[in-house]
Amino acid sequence: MSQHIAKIPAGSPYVANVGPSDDRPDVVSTADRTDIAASLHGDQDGYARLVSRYEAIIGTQMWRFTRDVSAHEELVQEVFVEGYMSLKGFRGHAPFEHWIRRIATRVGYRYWRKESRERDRRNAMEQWRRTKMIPAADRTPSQAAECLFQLLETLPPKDRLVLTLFYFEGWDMGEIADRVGWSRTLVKVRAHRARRKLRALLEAEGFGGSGSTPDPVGEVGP
Amino acid sequence: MNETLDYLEALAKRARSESSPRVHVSAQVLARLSEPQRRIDTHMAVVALASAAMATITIAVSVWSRLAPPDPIESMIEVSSLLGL
Repeated sequence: MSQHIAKIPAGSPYVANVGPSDDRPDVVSTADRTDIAASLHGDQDGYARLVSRYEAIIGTQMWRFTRDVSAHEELVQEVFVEGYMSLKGFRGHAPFEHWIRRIATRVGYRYWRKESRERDRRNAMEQWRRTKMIPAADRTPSQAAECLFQLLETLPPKDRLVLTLFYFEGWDMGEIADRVGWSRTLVKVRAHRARRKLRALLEAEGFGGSGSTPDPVGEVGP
Repeated sequence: MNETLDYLEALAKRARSESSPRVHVSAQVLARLSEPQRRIDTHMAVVALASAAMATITIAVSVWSRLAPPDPIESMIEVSSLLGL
């Protein structure tokens, strides 16, 4: 038997029309659509099914924002709690996965802003120095992720966000702009500057060297 | 691309194949969704109780003052005695 959680006030344009509120095609899967409608009516089982379907994807994404296991689980929970609270605003113009991943990005960024301290950045750099000489190819995926995480941790949160999504998720500038809610130009400029900072930092550590080919992220000037 | 950025790309390529810790959060999410509602209910109950108490006191005072309208001369004497006149 279905149990009930806090019912979201009526008026969701998605549920009212059983699909998007305008003429755009519904890109939401049947299972998601059913569970979203059930959740909006306070059906606990409906939302539990949505959480189970997407917790692995969101788990992977939130692992880019923290390497601490307990904080990671907290963040995943936070994404779904926030998702439920915002479900009324879901329009069905993009798959549910895109929508919940956008929330995940916001939750992760907020976590960084709360946690980011100069001391942590210096510690990240110290940790990176201990293993910096190991070539990328000789690292396990987990070691490579840890190393990249430490490097990106040295950047301010906005720069770190763009490069985390670029490197870890493999998203292009358009996808990052869409998920973060910034303009494409802003994302491009920020990515370019962040990579320049990172490159300067690595080169100051005696790592690598300048080449003649420009940064492929974009040649948007400073 | 320069060597430094190549290094970052190589790291990222390997890092992307890392598996994150598995999470099963349905139960905790549903528990958290029920929790704030209870907290809001408790807060609302406290506010309602306090409002009811204030309303009762206000009504009692107004009824008492209507039943026993103050004598202006008596009030003046009370005030002057308080002031030590």
